[in-house]
Amino acid sequence: MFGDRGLGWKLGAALAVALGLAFLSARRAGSTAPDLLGCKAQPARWDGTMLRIHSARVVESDTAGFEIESDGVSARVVPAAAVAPGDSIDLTGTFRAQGQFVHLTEVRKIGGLKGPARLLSLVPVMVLGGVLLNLLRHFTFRPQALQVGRSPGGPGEGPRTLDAGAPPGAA
Amino acid sequence: MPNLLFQFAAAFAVGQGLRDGRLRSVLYAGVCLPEILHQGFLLLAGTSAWFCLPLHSPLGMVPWCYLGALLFEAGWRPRAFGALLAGSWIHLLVEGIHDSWGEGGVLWAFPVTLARFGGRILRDDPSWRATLGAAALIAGLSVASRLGKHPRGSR
Repeated sequence: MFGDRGLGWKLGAALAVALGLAFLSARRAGSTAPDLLGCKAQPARWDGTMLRIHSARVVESDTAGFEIESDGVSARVVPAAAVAPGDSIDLTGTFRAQGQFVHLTEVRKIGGLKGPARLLSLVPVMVLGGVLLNLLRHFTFRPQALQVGRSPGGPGEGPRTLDAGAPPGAA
Repeated sequence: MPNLLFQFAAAFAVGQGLRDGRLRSVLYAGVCLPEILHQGFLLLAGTSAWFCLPLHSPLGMVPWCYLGALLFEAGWRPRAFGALLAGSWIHLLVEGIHDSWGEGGVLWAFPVTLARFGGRILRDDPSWRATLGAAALIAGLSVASRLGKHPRGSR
């Protein structure tokens, strides 16, 4: 299962399974959880469906509700919430075919960090950089498979790409 | 989504029980793997959120971790697979107990089932206080490790 024999096939199979799950997910979502465009295209079919809308932009708001735009599709959301035109939001709500609006369940503003708090968005990047550097301290990247012309049986011959270099317990 | 630092802090705590620094480094890479893949597909490839959902399900991470393990030298692949999978599941476990936007929890075997685990146990709080708390946990564990809890351990 983890040997070098048929490595290309194993890599291909793993990628196929991983992408297959992703395509299955997208396909299943289309039949069980439509997006805003799907709801507006077939309102009767999706009446009462729970919607999760990412990164919508508030176009206008009033005392009764507000108007959003998401992926080029606009929709009315009721009741009103603490949002203003121009805000970016994530929201969950229930689609109502009668009147074609979304009954709001939950809304969150996104990208709302201001001032020094904006530096917090750098933390994940720093964590990721540190983790990758730590990995490269212990493993050497050797893309032998791409080095055509090396003498057979030479150092590092084979399809390996990440070789453990440091001994166990090395700092 | 909780800060990646929280997830790393959880993996760091688990990693203190591992003596091999190389294995620990793969575990930490596994913690970042769901986020790298998710953001990569979502932001760089422009795929839909539903397409990316298996990247945040424990079942969906199995083929990606296997794929990642195959990139290591043959003798290291089983250990790399275990460490990558453990790391990615730690990521999802921490994500599952956070008060994430929407219904909360993690779909553990999506798209096979819609069953969830976890829920709104910890507040999803990207504040300095929470970030410093996670950093303090990492620093505390690191100091405790160096003070002799694992004399032969290393980073």
